[in-house]
Amino acid sequence: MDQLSDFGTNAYLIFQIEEDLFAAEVEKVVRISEMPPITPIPKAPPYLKGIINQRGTVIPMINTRFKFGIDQSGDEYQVIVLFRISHNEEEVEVAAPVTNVKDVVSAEDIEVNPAPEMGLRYKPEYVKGMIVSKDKFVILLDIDKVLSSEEIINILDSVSEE
Amino acid sequence: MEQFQSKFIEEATDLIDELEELLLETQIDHLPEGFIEQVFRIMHSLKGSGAMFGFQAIGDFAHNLEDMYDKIRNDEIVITERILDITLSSVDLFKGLLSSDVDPMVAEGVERVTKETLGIINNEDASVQSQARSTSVAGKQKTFWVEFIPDKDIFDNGTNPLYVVDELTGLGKTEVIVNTTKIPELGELNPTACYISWSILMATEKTKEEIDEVFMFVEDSAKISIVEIANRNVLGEEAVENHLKIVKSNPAAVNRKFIEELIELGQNAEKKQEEKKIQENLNEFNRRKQLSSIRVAADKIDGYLSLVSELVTVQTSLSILSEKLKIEELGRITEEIEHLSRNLRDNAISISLVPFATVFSRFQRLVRDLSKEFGKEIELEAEGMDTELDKSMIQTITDPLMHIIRNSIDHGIESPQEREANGKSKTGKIIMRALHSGANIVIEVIDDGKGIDPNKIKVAALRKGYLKPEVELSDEEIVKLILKPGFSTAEKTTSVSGRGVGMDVVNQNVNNLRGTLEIDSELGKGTTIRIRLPQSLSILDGMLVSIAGTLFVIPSMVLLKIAPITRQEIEAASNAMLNIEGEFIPFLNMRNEFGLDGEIPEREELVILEYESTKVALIVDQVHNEYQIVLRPLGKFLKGNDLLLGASIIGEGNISLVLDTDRIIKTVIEKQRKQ
Repeated sequence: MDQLSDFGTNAYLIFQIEEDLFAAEVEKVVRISEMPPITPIPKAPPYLKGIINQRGTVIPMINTRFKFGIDQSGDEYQVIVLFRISHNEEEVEVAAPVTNVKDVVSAEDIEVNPAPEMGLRYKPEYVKGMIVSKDKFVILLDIDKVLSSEEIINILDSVSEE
Repeated sequence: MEQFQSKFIEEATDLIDELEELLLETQIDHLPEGFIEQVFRIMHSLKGSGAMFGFQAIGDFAHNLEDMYDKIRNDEIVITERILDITLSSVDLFKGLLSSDVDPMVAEGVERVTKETLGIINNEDASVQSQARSTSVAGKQKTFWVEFIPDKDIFDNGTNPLYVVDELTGLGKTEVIVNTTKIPELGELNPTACYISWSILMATEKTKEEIDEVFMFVEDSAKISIVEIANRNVLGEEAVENHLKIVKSNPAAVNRKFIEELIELGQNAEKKQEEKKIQENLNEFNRRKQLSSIRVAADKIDGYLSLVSELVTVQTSLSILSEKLKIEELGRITEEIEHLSRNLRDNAISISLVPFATVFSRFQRLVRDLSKEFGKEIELEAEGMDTELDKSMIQTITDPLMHIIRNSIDHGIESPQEREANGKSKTGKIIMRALHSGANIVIEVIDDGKGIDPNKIKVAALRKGYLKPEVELSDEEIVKLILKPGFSTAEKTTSVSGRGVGMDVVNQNVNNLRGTLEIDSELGKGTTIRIRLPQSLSILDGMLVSIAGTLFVIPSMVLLKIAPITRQEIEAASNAMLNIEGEFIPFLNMRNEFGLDGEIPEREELVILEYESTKVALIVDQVHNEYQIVLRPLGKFLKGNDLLLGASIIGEGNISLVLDTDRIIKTVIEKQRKQ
């Protein structure tokens, strides 16, 4: 997927987690690869799946299922997206497993609309807006916040938790 | 040009550091040998290259100082305390001039010092006029020719003549010639007889009588003669050395004529020769400097280290593969490569280590400056300054240490009057000590000041809400409160010359280096601050172990022993202690500590470690082989995980976690204490 860069910085990567579609700025994406072997970390917080080896560098991997409030018992996703995000004002690389990577769309071809105030399953502070791509709704995430926060971003799940 | 300029800055910084170090070990009544020449040389270099590379201000500044030292070495000016002070103040000014953006304060200082220097050069100050040059000669040395010819039966009364020779060489600078020509053929040799004699040319401040005293116990069983050759040190002078060559090649040639000639040479050598000697020493100094070290940019060393790291990673994969394939020839080659890469690794590590002494002058400077500022008399003592630390570590730890010393001077050491009133010596003492302890490096700052008053801390802690009135704490625990984040009200000032920072900030800095800080304080007696730093090195030996199916690495540095253990033995253990060969050792079941499930094997293994000065056993499923591992940081994202030193990539790209056993054990102990 090295052709990601062809789209310049003004593009979005669209990926799928379970049935939902999400988007993140392409400039935040380092690469997409198959799920490598994961090394779990003892006593790590639940949002952290473990660490992986990416070309000789140790990278933390997020537990996407936990973060998006999805049942933990299902099979692990087989695709990971490696993001470079800003975390406490520093750049760090973080991997996130996803169900699938769908598409890359140029910013010129789409329109980003503000997120609706009602009806969204995710906490508004993690959502930058909505995109319609190929007749489907895509949630544009604030990927820095999503990956560096320690909480579950799904509203329903965190409500039912309490 | 830019590249030359950065080269100049690098070189100038070296010269200035050299100057600072030189000045700090110098006292007016005890100038080190060649001091004036060395300062002159430094100024000369700064002047020349400064002008050449566009640092005109440095060139001009150095020029005047060079002039002053030129006059000193030509005996036109006598060196004084004031001149030393001027020179020392120039150190900071030179540093200031090196920055691209010169501070107006620096420019002002340069002007002031230049004016003062010119005043001295132009004899405006009568006090520095030359009267005699006696001040520049350190200690009055004489040269003696000592002959020591033990009787054959000297061993009979239990005397070892070598001790005598050792003692003699300890008296000063010596040149020892051993005469072995009297040793007979093996067939005739009597092993209990002494056939060896010694001739020693020595330069010493001792008198002839004092040298004679060395022979007190052997004078009846040896021939001894001591002759004064010259009333100064002639060792190393060309003519003398040449003359010595005669007897070095043939020790039997030592006779009256030889000694007479030696005396003549010693007396004849006039001042000219002394000057020549200084010049030669200087050349020798420069030559040695060029040969013994070369300058390498720090990023080249980092590059070298990371290449070695990669090599070690690949080598470990090879070792694992070779073990799996069990091909004898491959095994042999693998072992050789392992051996080589281990040597290469050790070499790479040693390159990036620097002795603590390299930063010590900064502390000397600080103590000197601050004790003046606070009107206190303080002596700084150093121990273990040859202890080596990773170069990046040494840079990061310097600032916290500066703050600790500042606190010692400001709050610890009392004024001379107060000390005398309390029956202490007028001069306070700060000892700085560095040492290795297990896998850690320990740095201690010990002062003999008034100590930390727990009552004062208690009042402050109560006021700031760090302590509730109903809580009873021991004095020791109260003193520890000053390490709590936010305890001090002092602002976070990084410059030592500004306001000091609190111990809580220092503690935080040490923790960021994965180190720990302890305080021992006794009211009226003094305070000891102990910093424990981990081995920061990125490559280490580690033992691969498995716990509940996951591989972990335990650093070999702390490893004492490995022993098998059965389930029954663990279950039978009382009071969390295991009886291992008669010794009761506390243990941690790693499976439980990490909250890992899975089937528990019937036989597990104990890894016995060194913790502080005791032993602790960790229970793991299985111990595999020892490997060289490259420690990779877990990154900012996982910072704060106390159990791990980092991760390591081994085998076919799998990651193993490297355990921070010290922290794991410490956490458990602290948890148990609280309960």
